[in-house]
Amino acid sequence: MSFRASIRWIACGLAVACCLRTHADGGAVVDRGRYGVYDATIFLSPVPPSTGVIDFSILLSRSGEPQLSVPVHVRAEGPNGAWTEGQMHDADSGNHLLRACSLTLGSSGPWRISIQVGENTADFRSFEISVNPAPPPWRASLPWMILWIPVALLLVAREILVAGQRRRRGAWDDSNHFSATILR
Amino acid sequence: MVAIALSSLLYLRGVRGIVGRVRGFPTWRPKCFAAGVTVLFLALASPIDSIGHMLLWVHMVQHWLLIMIAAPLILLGSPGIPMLRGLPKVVRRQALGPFIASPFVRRCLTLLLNPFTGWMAFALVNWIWHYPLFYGAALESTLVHRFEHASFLAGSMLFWWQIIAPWPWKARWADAALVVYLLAADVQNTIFSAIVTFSDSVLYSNYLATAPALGWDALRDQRMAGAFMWTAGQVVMLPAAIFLILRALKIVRPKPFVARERPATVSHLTEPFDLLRVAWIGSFLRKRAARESIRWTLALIALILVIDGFFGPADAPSNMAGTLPWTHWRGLVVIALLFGGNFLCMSCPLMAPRNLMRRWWKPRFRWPSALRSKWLAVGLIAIWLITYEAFDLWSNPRATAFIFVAYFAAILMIDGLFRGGSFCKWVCPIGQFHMTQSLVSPLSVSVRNTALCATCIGRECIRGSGSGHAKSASVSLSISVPGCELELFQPAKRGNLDCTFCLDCVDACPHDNVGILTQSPSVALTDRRWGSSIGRVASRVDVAAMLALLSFGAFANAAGMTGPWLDLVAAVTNSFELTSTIAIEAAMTSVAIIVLPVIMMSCAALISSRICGISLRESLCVGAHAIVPIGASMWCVHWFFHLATSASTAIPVMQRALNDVGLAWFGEPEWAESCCGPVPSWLLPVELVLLQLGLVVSGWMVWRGSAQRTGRRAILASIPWWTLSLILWFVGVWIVFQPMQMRGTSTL
Repeated sequence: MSFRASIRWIACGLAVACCLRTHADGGAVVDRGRYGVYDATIFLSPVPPSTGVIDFSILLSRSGEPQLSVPVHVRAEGPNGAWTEGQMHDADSGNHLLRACSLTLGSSGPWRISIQVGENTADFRSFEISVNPAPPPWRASLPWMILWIPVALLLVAREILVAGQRRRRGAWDDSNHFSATILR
Repeated sequence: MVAIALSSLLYLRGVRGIVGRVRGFPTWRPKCFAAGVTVLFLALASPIDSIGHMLLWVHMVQHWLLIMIAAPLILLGSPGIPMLRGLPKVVRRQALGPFIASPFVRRCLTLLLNPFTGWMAFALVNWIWHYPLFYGAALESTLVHRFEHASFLAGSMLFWWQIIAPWPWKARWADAALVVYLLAADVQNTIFSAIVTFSDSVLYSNYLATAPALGWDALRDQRMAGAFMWTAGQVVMLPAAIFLILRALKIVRPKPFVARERPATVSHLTEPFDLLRVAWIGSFLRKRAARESIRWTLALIALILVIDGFFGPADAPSNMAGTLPWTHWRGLVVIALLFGGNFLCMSCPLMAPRNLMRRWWKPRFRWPSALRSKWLAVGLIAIWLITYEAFDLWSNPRATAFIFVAYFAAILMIDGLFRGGSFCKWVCPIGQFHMTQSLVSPLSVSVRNTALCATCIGRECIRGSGSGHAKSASVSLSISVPGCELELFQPAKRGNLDCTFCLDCVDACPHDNVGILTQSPSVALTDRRWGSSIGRVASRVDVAAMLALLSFGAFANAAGMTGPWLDLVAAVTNSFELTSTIAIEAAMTSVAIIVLPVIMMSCAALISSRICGISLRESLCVGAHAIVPIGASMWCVHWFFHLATSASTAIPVMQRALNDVGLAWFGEPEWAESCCGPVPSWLLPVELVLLQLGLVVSGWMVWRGSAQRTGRRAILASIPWWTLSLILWFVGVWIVFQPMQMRGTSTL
């Protein structure tokens, strides 16, 4: 196979794979049960929930068939009379089997979540979640802030290795190594 | 996704020249690699991943694809050597070379690639991650889930390595022993699958809630998963074992290798990249008229901005002069500097009228000796940074237009009086910024073959060529091709300092020996050799002052848009009972870009020089050069933030300007676009990575600079400057987490 052909292979493979790509919403299951004639499983992210934007997702089915067109309404009532509500949409969900909406829960403490499925106001359930105070924003980005440490350690290791090789041979010279032949 | 794309690119780059030409690397290997990468992508980023959260058996399909299909296919592609060859030469030799040549690293690799290690890794990963506690943790956390998949892939690669023995490694065990190795793995897979299949209770409680929602009973889902693992594992392992048996019995023999051609010397791996040799772009840039046309286009845009600035709305978000230069141009500047070089000076709109003027008006004077340093530019940069903050230039289209006009007047006056590129070299603060930041750029105008320059007697690159040259037959013999107006003699040019990328040297060189070549970013910062027209730049205090000013200026400029800074300005202004913040902002900016750098750098230089016995000047120069990368990263973070969040602000102002002149082609202005958009989620990680890149390169430059001067005491000499770099990095990180004043946008 020529070089161009191998490019075509990889490009075609990635293109096909990209077409199939979806995300998983993740999160934890916080409630599951029957809402009228529907079976519903409610997911929540982040885990554990903290003040700020909370993503609610619902997997709704009827006799094992996912239901994607039934209206789903979410209402959250928090401490001190605070409340917020929203409608679940397909567009908010990365996973095509789920429907989702994001609500901003402004204060920490117990929040009562009520979810109504369909137009019938009797088909609703409530459950309680405990919302923690939001961690400082840098904590969520911590993995992105410590990447320099392993890189710095690798640079130090490189210096130690080069110094050792210089001591043995007088100067760093890669011409004697099989690996160096490959590297060139 | 990024890792897969990057690996594929490296593989493709490195495989050129060896596929089909080297024994052990027949043409089917790239096909296997492509198939493996595709399966990996399907396993990790397809609906399988989504549904795997809800059904155990789908999750097991994902794991099977990872460990039984993707891993062996990728190894059959023998990715090791091609990916090493695909790396840039400097990374391959300077960064990885010492590791690969190290006996210690080789011993570690030998241990890692031992069959026992491979088998144990495969089995342990399988059992540990399927333990309900860890499995549940992976389902609930994306990070843990990714780690789970990474460890599955790594463990299975170690396992299959022994069987496949990717070129050029040889199998450690004979085929007969490998059959036992493979069947032992199959047995442990069978035991595990049997436990899952015949369990009477649901092992993974997460699926109790999700599987029924998709019409599956959780226990039935679990049994299906166990049965799949059982059979699908054997579908791969048993044929592999049969193949090994046949090979051991010499029933299957490898085909004799017939090379298509001799191994090729692959120019893209041995020669540096040369932008001027790239099709289309290279031929375009080499044309003098093409470069001039870019300048005239930008000059025309500048004229439009000036007109709109003076006569358009006074509100910055509604005026082209209030948005395009401050949001879009600056964003493009950092992108060009980060991925290219000083293309901004190459396309400078000021050069268009200046070059036109020089056709008829020849300057007579030489730039005064007393001003042949960077001190004038240092003063102008300081004034620029202070006035920007104090007078909120970004919010004042009239002031922006006035600066444009003043700039055009200044270059016409100075280059009308003084010969050469006096304005660019000694005066222009924006040019100094571009040239300084391009010290960390990957591209540089430099000679292709230094040996050829040794035989050159004409030195046309600096003297100019009066009669054209052979390579450009289209150039009329009567046209004079100027040499470098900034007095840079190509063979002795060091880095991008003072280089405007005008490419006059490219036109003038009769040997076609000047190109835009890759350089090791930042390496010019520790170059102590004498450089043409700039001397020993690593020892020049004026250059050090300019570098320090621009590096600290990056942080002051970015901090000036944060909430805490603005609160402090307001508080101090109120405490002095002033009606305007101008004086306070000017004073605070002066402290940030002059007083603080002087104090901090003097302290670091003093400590470093005392510890190691080098002069204060030398130590100061090491530090000033070394902090350029972290300063450049802060400029990138700041300006790229504006571009990423406010790019759409260009739309309504251009619609408004067109409507003002009676051209309603694009409809009424969509003012909703002039409000900054939401900050994309990827922006913060990108900003943090850029800052860390700056920190690491700065730390490395400190080390190299100190090692050149102090030898064995380099670590001690470096500590004060490392501390300063870390302080700057912390300030940068603090800035990116602050609420920002969205400049050049409306609050609609």
